[in-house]
Amino acid sequence: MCELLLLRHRRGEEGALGELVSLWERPLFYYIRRFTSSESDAWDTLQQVWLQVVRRVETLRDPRAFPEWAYRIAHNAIVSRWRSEPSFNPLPEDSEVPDERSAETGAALHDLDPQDIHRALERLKPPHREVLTLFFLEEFSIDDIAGIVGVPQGTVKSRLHYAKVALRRILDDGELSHD
Amino acid sequence: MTDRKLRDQLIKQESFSPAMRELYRQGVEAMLENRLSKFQRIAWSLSSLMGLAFFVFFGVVAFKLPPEFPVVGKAVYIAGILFSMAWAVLGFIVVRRGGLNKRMHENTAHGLTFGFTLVLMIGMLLLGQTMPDGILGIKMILGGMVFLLIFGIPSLMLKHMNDAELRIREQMLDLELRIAELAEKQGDAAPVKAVPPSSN
Repeated sequence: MCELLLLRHRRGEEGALGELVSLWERPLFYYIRRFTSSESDAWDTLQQVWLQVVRRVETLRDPRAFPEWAYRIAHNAIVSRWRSEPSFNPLPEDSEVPDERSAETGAALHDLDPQDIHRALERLKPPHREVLTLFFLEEFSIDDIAGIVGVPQGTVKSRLHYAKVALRRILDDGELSHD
Repeated sequence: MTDRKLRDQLIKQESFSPAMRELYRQGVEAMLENRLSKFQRIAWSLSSLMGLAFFVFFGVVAFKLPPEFPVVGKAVYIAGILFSMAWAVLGFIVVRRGGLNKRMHENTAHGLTFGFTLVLMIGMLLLGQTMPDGILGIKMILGGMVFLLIFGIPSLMLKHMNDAELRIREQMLDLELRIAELAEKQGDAAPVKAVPPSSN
């Protein structure tokens, strides 16, 4: 669908880009909101993302790559916002670990209550939260996530593995407070 | 729960303030107006000024033409006046609007370029035939053709090729999308029945 809208935009159809914005607004907002302290910051960051998208959309050669491209822009916008904050600390790097249990854990995670997953995501460390959010939202491949986050594939595998284990632990331990 | 459903459910978990979203939307809508960049504004202003300059040039020359000047030549000058005036007006409209409607303004620009070079070529072809000096006539005809080949035809061809390619890709995607939607609907409405094994 977004490929179609991008082609329509390139053909000069007014409103196609607006439809694309509407289509991707909520998932991108969800992703950005996971890393911003306030809702107003999240909307502000999302607006910055669309500004970049509008400016650079003509340079996107393959319209099918739009989701990865848009999330990469969102990732960079989040990092820029973090860096501008006085309390900025660079994200810690993980050591590479084999990802034998990831697929199994991933399959099990998809059967969980979305509300629980949503709450548990908040408890994860930002690097783990990021890869898992991308995994849940768009089911990006390891390669895609590595491209979005700008880290090697091994690091993504490692983060995804630890994130799934941590999420499962949070859910199993009943650490979540329900309203 | 399918993964698509999980995604949608997760997104639904995120609450937001309608007022903040409205503020954000206003900002995005202003952004989507396809405003001219500084470079585009300068380029369109220059093209508008050039159109104006050519309008004055063609006008002055047409005014000073001797009465014995061929009618075809006069027609070419009048076409030049009209083309340059249209070009100046188009540039003025785009700059004044501050935004570019790709479909309308770019198509007009391509049409004007092709239209004028075609008129120029036909004019030179007719003028060349009436020239008492045969060599000069051939030179004029060739000059007109060169104009058409360098400026008119490539501009129009590139525009049409680009449009056609995008249209074909768009139609194919549209078809793919419809097939996917139909398949999805059919999958929801009627689960696929297992085919009993053949008794033979």
